[in-house]
Amino acid sequence: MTALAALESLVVEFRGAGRSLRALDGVSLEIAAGESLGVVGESGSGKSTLARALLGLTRPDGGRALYRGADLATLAGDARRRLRRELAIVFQNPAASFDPRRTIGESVGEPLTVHAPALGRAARAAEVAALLERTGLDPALAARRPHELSGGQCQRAAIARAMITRPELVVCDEAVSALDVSVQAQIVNLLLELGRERTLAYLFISHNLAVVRRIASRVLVLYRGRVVEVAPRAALFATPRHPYTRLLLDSVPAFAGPSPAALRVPPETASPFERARGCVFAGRCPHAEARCRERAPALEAVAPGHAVACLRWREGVAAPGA
Amino acid sequence: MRSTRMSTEPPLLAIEALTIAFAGAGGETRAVEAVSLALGRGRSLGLVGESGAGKSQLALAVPGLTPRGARVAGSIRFDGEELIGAPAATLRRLRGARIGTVFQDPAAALAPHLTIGTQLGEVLAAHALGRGRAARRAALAMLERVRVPDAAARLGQYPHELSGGLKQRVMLAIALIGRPALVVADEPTTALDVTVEAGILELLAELVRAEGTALLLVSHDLAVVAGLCDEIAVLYAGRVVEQGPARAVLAAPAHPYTAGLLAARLTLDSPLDAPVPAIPGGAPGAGPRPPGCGFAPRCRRAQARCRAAPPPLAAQGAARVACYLPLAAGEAP
Repeated sequence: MTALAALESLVVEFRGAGRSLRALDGVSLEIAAGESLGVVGESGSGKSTLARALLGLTRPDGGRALYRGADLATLAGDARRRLRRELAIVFQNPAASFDPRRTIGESVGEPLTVHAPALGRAARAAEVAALLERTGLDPALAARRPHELSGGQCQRAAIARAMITRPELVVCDEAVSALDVSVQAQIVNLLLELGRERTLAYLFISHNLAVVRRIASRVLVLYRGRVVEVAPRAALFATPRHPYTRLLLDSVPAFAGPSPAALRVPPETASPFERARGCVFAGRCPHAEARCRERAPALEAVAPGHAVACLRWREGVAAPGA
Repeated sequence: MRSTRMSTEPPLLAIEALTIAFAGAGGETRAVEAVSLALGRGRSLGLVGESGAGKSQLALAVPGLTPRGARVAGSIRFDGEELIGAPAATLRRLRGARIGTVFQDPAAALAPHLTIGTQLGEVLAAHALGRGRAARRAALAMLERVRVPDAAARLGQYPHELSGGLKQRVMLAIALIGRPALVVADEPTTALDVTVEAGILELLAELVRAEGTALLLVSHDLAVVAGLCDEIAVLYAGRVVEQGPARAVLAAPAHPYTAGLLAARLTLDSPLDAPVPAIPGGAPGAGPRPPGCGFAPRCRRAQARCRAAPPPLAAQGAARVACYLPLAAGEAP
């Protein structure tokens, strides 16, 4: 079976001032129809570049981004338009993703003017009203402008806009990160409901592990442009194999205070322009040996659907307190 | 935790009936309304709430950083000295020397055109705590205390040459180098990566413990406050809705908002088979507040009297709660 969307050994570099930064360094992934894949990583891990690549918004410097088996870089004309309809994105800062001069209704209905030009004004307005209602908004808000909405209302409207073309895959890039906790919970519930109702596939990107755990059935961990671990949700949170995944889990703020294990790990000191010869995490890893700095570990299967890029995973280096 | 406050000793910080209001097109917004809080020497108090709760305005009023144009009423006494209406020179003298501040975005709070060494030295010089070689030695020692690697080399560097985590360590160094009696920290780790956050929180805890510094911490994250603070005050729509020992309040919240916030917070143990228990609605926007309890429009328990007049803070167990219908221990919100 072909995956709905896939990245194959994708490389994306940014160049400027005589330097180059490899934002993604050979990333491969697959998303099946209706599946939600979580991507966790910190700043500089390449998560947002990954989102753009998957949507065909970034031209890769190596590898391919595929949608239904077709290379996004070569799609043109009708095929490209169809792609735009089937893929949607929800960003972190909803207020900034709306045109301040347009009404919410105009912005939410805008994709229809491109993808369903035959639809009349009234039919479009009806679609917008139905979706606003479905995302928990009063349809009367269609006449308002973005600054008149709260952060939570804006994010509901952004979700309505993403859903209006009935997409197959929705990329959520830190979509709930800027929201208050009580509102964040509402939006997480809404995304879960819509995903079930419409058999949507999600690429859910977040730095918040607890949120990713709630939404994604499979999770990919990104560090400095490389996949260090990918696993079904239960395995990733219960039996992670990569020391970086362990560090992320240990770092989640807990009522008992920071975990001593997390505090032993130093912050990253390498410049993002530096390309690691070996493992990207070796500079911080409490278990790194000389060979870890020499040779980049390949992703290795641990169990069905679970792969890790660590030379020492068999030694239990990601066990609690290891 | 360690200091037992004598009943005769006045608190280091005493806030009484503080109101901070901003004029706007739709009427006056009371960002902070009739808030009273006290903080003892060497103690730590966490202010928790969501956007618009007033927690940052409350904390920023202490070092005199309330924006111009705000209407301020009430009293803030620091070490016996009234700060509301105090001359700018008094507040400048207190800031840095007696009250250190740490903000969310270290990139915006550090002067981009001055080296780290110069910025640390300025604090010392401004408060006559040292100059020249002695200042350099003190700056170096402080950077080492906040575990900045290659501290000597960093003295000559500019903020943009440092990572976010390192910038925040430098901010801590600047806040603490004058050996203040109080540190005000407004979301000090919110802009940082999660694996860096733990280190900064631990450092903050260790420094205030070692120096006997009191801490006023603002955070949207209950776990951050739980890990760092003796006391907690939960704010909603400008008012304190619940306050008391952090452990006791978080173990058995009595205000429906505190309980709702705890329940809505996703953790690594949250159940996967049920919707997240969200609080309906959203935080109130700008403009005049409704007459009763600020949380009433979102509260499942609200009755007519909740909407008529705001409930006063009343003792319940070890805590104080502003609710006509507080929850019993373990009761769902």
